[in-house]
Amino acid sequence: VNAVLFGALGIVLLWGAFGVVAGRGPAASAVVSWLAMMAALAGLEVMADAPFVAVAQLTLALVAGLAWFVVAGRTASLAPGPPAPPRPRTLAIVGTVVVVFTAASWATAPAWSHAPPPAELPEAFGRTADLGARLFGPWWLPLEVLAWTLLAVLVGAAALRTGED
Amino acid sequence: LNVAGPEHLVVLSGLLFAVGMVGALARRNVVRVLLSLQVMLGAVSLALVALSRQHGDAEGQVVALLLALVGAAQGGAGVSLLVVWARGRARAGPADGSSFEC
Repeated sequence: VNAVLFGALGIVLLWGAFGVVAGRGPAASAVVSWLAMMAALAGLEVMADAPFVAVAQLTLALVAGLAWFVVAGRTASLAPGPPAPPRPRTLAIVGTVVVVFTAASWATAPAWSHAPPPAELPEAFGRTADLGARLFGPWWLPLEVLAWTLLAVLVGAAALRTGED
Repeated sequence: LNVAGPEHLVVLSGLLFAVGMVGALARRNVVRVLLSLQVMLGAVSLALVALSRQHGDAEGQVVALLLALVGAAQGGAGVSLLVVWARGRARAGPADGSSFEC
């Protein structure tokens, strides 16, 4: 069951990512593909004993997806720009990245591919109480910085909207 | 052989990161570029969760949570800037020299 579930979620994950990257439809279709990808990602995270992370990510993705739909709808009414000229430099960069990634995967495979998972996970592994204790313990400062950053983004977005209206 | 082991998740996250990077570098549609960046963030998050499972330490999950917040901030900033940019472009007309398509 694990293997079938992993395969199905992996296929949806990659299909969604390819839909975002290679899709030719309107931008809203990219948002749908991204949401499908995030749902599959959440499923894989549940399989990796991280249910809290999965729920948090999926909730944020659904909220962000609504905003992306608004943007896709607003920008779709604009006339498209000039046709894109061929960009050999970009293709060269992409090719180099893929080659380097593949080479790095092969080179480091012996180090990580045979490492066995821990035989026994702690009882509280991935539970909300454990993550909460860590977030408000040693990870308190990064959490605060990120929370204030998010607040600044929200205030900035509201200020931009107000200035435009 | 554990078919759905952490190492398989790491490989999958690597593939996902590569796909997202291709989109961020090669696409001209600005919505797709920003969503490709989100794909890359998702790939990193998956790798963190998988490695956290591999080592039996939940610190990776904490970092994945913080990464989800970074993604939300990036998405929020991107959305608001895109709306403002789209309005300005609508006023200026389609031929304003923008290098991105909408």
